Amino acid sequence: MTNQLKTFSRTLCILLFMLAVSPSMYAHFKVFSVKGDVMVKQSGKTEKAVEGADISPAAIIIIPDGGSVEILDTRDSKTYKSTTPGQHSPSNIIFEARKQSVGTVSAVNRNLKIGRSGSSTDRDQVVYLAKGKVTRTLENYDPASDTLQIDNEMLGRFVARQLSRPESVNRQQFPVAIDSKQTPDGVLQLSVRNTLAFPVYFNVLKIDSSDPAAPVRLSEIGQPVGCYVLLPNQVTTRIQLADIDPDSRHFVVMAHYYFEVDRMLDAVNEARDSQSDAPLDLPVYLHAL
Amino acid sequence: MKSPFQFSVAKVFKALGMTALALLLSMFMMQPFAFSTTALLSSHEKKDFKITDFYNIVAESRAVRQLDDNVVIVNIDNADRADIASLIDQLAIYEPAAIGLDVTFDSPRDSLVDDYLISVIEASPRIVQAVTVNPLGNSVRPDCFTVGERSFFMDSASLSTPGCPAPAVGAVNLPMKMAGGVAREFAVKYSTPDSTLVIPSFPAALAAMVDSAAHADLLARGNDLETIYYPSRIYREWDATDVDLHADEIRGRVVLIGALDDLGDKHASPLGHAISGVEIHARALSTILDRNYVTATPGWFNILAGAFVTFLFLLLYVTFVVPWKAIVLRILQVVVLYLILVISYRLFIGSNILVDFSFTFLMVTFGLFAFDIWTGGESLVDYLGKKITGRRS
Repeated sequence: MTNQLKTFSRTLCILLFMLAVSPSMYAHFKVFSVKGDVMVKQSGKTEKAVEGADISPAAIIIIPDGGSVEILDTRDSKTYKSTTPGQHSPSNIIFEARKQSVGTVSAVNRNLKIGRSGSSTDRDQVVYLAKGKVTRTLENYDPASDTLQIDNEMLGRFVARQLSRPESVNRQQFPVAIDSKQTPDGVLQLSVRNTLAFPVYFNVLKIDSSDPAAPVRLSEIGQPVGCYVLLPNQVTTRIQLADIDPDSRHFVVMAHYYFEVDRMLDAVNEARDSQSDAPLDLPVYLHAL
Repeated sequence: MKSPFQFSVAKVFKALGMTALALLLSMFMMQPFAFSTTALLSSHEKKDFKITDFYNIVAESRAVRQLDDNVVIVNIDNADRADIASLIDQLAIYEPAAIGLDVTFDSPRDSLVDDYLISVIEASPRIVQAVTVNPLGNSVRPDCFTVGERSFFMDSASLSTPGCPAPAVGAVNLPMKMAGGVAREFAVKYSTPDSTLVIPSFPAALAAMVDSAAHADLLARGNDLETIYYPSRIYREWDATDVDLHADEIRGRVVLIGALDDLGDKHASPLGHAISGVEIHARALSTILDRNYVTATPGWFNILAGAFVTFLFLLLYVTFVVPWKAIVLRILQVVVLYLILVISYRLFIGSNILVDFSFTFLMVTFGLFAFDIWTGGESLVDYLGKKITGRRS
C-alpha cells in the first residue's frame, strides 16, 4: 500500500511538472510589432510572425535584413525590440534590448550627427523637396519648413492612385471647411476656409473623359500656375458662372506644401496606368465637388 | 622636470574675466541660436528647438519600451458621429475606468444621430469632454481664460455657474512657445474670471476621475505647467471598429477617443516627429498617473553650471604651459562638450532631471574665443601703452 501510494505520488508529481513546464503555461511573450518578413519557428513549424501572436520561450525568431521585431512581455508590459538580422530566442532579444537601453554612451553616439548628413535618400522616399533641389526625405510633419515644396511627381502618382479608388475621395476627412455647388446649367462654385493653424495649398482638377490621353485636367476654377495658398483663417471663393460641363467631375487636391499643378497633372496622367509604385499614404487630401 | 601647470592668483582672475566674457558672448549668441549644435543634435531644422529635446530623442531610440497599463487609445479617424456615439455606448459595457473624448461637436447635424450621441454621453458617468480655452489677454488678468470651443450640446451656463451640475470637461489646449511649436508641457488648470471656476486640463480632469491621489499629488506640486514625460512609452491603439475584440483590455483602463491621423491635430513633439493631440494627452495622463514628473533645473543653475565648467576649462588653459597646449585643449573642449551631453542624458533617464546645458555648451564653445579676445585685448593695450609712453619720453 505504501509503495502504491509512493508510485501514485511520484506519477502525479511528474504529470504536474509536465503540465507546469508546458509551453502554454509560459505564454507570456507576444509579438507586438513586426517589420519585414519575420518568421517564428516553434512547435516544429515555421510561420510568419503575426502581431499579437503568442511566442513560447523556446521559439526561434528569424529576422531578415531590414526587418525588425518587437516582443511584449505581458508580465511587466515591456516591449523589447531587435533589428539584428538572424535567428534569436525571445530571451536573447530581451537581453540584447536591455543591454542597448542601459548603454548611455552608445545611445548618445547613435543620435549624434557629427559627420553625417543623414541617411541616404531613396528617391522613392522623397516626398518634399526644397524649391529647386532635393534636400532630404521628410519623414516628419514639419509645417515650419516653409522653403519646401512637395515632390510633384510623387504627388501625381498618389493622386492617380486615389482617383482610381473613388471611395477614398471622402468628404468627411477633408481637413478644412469646404463648400461647393455644381448645377446642371453650368455653374460651379467653391468656397474654402482654412481652419488650420498653418497655410494650405490646393488646386482644383477635373476629370475630362472626352480626352483619353489626358483625362485629368485643370478645372475651370483651378489655379493655372502653381496652386492656391490659404493662410490660417483665410477664405477663398471661386465661381464659374457658365460653361461647366455638367458631366465633368471636379475635385480639390490639398496639401500643406506648395506644388506645381502642371507638373503634377503630367505625373497624374502618366501614372494612371501604372500605380504600383504610388505611395500608399501621404498627407494629401482629395475632395470631390 | 618643470610642471606644465603654472598657477598664480593673477591667472585665476584672468580665467574669471575670460569666463565673464564668454558668458557675455553666449548671451549675445543665444538669441538666434542658429548655430551648429542644433544641426548636431536635431534631425531637422526647427524654430522651436531646445537642447533638452535631444534627451527625449535619444531615450526614445532605446530598444525597451513600456506598454502603458492605464491608458488605451481608440482611433476615430474614419468614424462619423453615429460611429462615435455607438462606440461610447459600447465602451460602457466594457467598464473602462474613464473615457476621455478628445473631440468636439461644433454644431447640430442629423437630429437622430445627435440625440443618440447626447444620450450616450449623458449616460456615461465617467466621461470627460473636451473644451478649448482662450486667454483673456488683458493686462489686468493675463492668466485668465474663457471657454472657447465646446460641443454644441454643452450648456455654457453649466460651465460657468457655481453650483450648477456641470459635465466633466478638460481643456485640450497644448501650451507652446509659438504657433506650430513643440508640445513639451501640459497645463494643470486654467483660471477663469470667476474665481470659483477653474477649468482643468484634459489629462488633469481624467486623472482626477480615476486616481484622486495622483491628482492631489499633481496639485500639491503647485506648478501651472508640467513637463510631459515622453520617451519609451507606447499605448494600445485600436480603430473604433475593433474595440469589441479588446474588451478585456479596456476594463479598468482610461479610454481616450481621438483621431490619430488628423492633419489638423498633429503637433511637433520633443521626440523629433509629430504626433497626434490624443497621443500627447495620453502621455500627459501617464505622467500624472505614474508620478513620472520631470524636474527642470532653474535658469540660474544652468547659467552657474555653465560658468563653473567654463571657468575650470579656461583656468586650465591659462595655467597649462606647454608648446602643444592649443591642440590638447581643443580636443579637450570637444570631449567636455560630449561629456556634458552624456551626463545630462544620464540625469534625464536616471533621475528625471532636465538640465538645460545650452549655456554650458555655448560658454565652453566660446571659452577659447573669449581667451583669444582677452589676450588680443591685452596685447593691444600693451602696444598702445608703449606707444603713448614712447611719445611722452
